[in-house]
Amino acid sequence: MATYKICDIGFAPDASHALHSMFKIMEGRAQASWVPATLDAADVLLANVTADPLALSAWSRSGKPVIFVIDERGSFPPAPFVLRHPVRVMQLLSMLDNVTEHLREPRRQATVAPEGTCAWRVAESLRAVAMHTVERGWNVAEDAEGAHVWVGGGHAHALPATLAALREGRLALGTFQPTTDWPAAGAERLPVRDLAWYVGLAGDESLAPWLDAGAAFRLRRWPDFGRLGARVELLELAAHAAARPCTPALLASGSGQPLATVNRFLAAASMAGLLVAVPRVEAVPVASTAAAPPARGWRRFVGDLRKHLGLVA
Amino acid sequence: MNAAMRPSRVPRELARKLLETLGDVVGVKTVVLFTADGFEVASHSAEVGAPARIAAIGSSLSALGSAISAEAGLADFDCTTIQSVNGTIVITRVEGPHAMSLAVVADEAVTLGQLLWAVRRCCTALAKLMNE
Amino acid sequence: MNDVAEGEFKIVFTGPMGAGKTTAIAAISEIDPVRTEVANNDRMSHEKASTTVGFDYGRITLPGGGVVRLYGTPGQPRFRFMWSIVGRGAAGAIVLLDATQPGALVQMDLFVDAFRPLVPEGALVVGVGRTTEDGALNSDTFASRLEARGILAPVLSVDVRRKADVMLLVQTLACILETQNGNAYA
Repeated sequence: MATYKICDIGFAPDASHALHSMFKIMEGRAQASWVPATLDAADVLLANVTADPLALSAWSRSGKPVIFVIDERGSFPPAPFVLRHPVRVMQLLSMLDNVTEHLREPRRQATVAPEGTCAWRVAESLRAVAMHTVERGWNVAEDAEGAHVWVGGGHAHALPATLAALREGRLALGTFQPTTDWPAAGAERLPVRDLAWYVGLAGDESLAPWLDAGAAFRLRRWPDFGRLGARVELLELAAHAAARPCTPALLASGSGQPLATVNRFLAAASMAGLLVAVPRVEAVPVASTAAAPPARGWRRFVGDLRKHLGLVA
Repeated sequence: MNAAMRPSRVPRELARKLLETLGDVVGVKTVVLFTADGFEVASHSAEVGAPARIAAIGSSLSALGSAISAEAGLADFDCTTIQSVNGTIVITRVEGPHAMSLAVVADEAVTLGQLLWAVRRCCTALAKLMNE
Repeated sequence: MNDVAEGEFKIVFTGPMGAGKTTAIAAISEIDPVRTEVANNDRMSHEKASTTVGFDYGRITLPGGGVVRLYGTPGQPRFRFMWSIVGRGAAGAIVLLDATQPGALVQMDLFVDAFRPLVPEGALVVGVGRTTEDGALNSDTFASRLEARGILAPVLSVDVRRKADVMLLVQTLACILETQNGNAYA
């Protein structure tokens, strides 16, 4: 049996103590053995979402898995492994088994190879700086034509033309870097989660490295397509992902969209904090969840409606 | 549409006295005068609370009456009669500067012709009152 | 049940007074909408000259001959009796809200709760207007409220005076209906 080292951060002493007790209880029941360790030595991080952002940011660069624990009413962070407080032993056991499987899969290391993942590096750099306060300084990303997007204090700032290009998916940004410069005069702001959505959509064809190809995902909230701008394929994917948890493959087959579009949608939704990763056992194939067979005439009818609305090329 | 007017500016007490005359018609249970947007202005009823709801539903029916009249190329809504298994409801527009209607609910004891005649007479009196 | 099999279906626009239901229907209807607007005496609730007391009705005829009937409800709770009348048989509902109105979140709850039982599960879209004005609530606030109540419905920032925005609401509803009915359009 494999033994993995786990470090917990951001918990009160009693909560931390309870977690350590649970590791002991799970001994012999879990797929692997879990022993507490320091941050530097750990294979897996168990983090309260309110933990030190700097430590979380440093950990995210290591590419090792992190299990987030959110409070009862907290919103889900864009991450594959999330537990809700109070954590029960069986939930933790199930989660750690998922993480064990994740660690055993050799392809995980392959997905973080630097080649061909430039777009995800932009996303990762934004994830690392998104929650920084302005007091920590500004971060800036630049595209090939010299357009800038600043991030600080939970907002992105850019000139109106740059924001328009971002909305239309025409802006290919580089990674976010610390800067001493302030946003340009005349820059407008948008919530950083909206920027995160656009950066996710501009990502690579492959599944984002922080998402698990075997996990199922569902929307916890719809994107505000009125604010973000809508595309038919994204509306369809959102409707599917809102209806039931879907693996990327199921989402592609259910919606009829290419896997690359599905991957970008999932990246955008997770970056914007709209996605929930669901343990695999809860994910069910599309066919078995369809409440009723399609009503007669539905397909033709919806097709005609979409033609009228200009949704069909 | 007429200029909006708060129901409180209508001579409610005088209107209510006019509605009482309809109560003398055999079978009449409830009489409600209401604004086009469904506010009760005055009423005469044995049942507490009923007039407010009748005012709201009556205004919808008046508006639907106007809509279907316009759709059919007729002049504006004037009166509608609803015959129920055990009673009759008459909704009539009250002429005047303020868009108002009158709803009368009667049971099976009523004679329709007698009711319509009495409602017309009451509406004429109400119109005169509103114009004063 | 809705009449999709017969080539017709019904969408209901609802929401509080002044949220833009009549405007939204007029923006996309191919016919001059049937209106039942009368003078508004209730200036305490809304500084609006007129208010719908019956229902609004508009129509879209589709290329294949199908018909979408668009209905608007009265917005004032006094006319609640009309909500179930208008909502009966609807394929979906679009709840319109004004983000600058005090109590807009409570109003959302009121209309969402009233119309969810009237439409097939999930066939509800929320459109929030005037979100960029001073003092307005952000659309995320409405989405959070629904999420906290365990309701997953799209919340979209829209300007119902713009045809494209109203179309987006209908389009979103169409995508939900299509997904619920278990197949992708091909």
